[in-house]
Amino acid sequence: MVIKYQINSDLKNILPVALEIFQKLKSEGVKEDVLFDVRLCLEEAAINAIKHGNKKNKKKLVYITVKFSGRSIEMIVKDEGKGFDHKNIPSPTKGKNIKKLSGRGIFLIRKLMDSVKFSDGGNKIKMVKLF
Amino acid sequence: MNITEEKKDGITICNISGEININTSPQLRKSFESFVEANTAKIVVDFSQVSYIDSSGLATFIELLQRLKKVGGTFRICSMSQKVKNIFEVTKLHKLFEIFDSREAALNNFL
Repeated sequence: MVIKYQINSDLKNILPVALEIFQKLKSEGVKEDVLFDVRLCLEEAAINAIKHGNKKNKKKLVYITVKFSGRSIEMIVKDEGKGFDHKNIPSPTKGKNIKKLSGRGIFLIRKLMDSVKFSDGGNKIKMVKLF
Repeated sequence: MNITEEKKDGITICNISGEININTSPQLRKSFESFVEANTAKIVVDFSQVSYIDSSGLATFIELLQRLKKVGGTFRICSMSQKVKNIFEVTKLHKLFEIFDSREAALNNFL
């Protein structure tokens, strides 16, 4: 099963798409605890794409692709921004960073997914959850 | 998301149900405004009906704890589901917040 969406860069567009994907994966028999992590990471990646990638420019799109194989879920989120240096993100768990109000999205994705890869200079993320 | 309040032994209990996400976090922040304005000292936030939390929800609670502490207040969190608790543990925020397994344990900690 392959699901593809294009949304414009309005944060309100994320939840309906995420819930639709959630329901489709649920109907394929994916367990609730896996769905929780998958949904969280998809939403965090989409939030980053809209806020930091496309700078909330509603003319710019975010492309979401979800592939379900029966043994894994692969999610790709791509924006139309300039990308970013994904190799130098400070850990939100270290020292004073624990009290910071931002910087946990990619950290959560890396912790909850089995594989995470950035490409295109950082404006495309591919996340894989195995089960 | 729905938020209700009750009082017990001078402690405000804040019951949250539903999802704490980027759409509902502003509502949570607004609800806590009254606690900050009233210098509410002791709050227990009951998570037993919270089904989901994202990074914006986590950030909102960090902000609220900082604001409450400035006016002499604080809160404890209780009764998280295992999935929600895992998000706090992965991000190490279980070290920043005081988290209890039950409402009774959180209330007793204030007494």
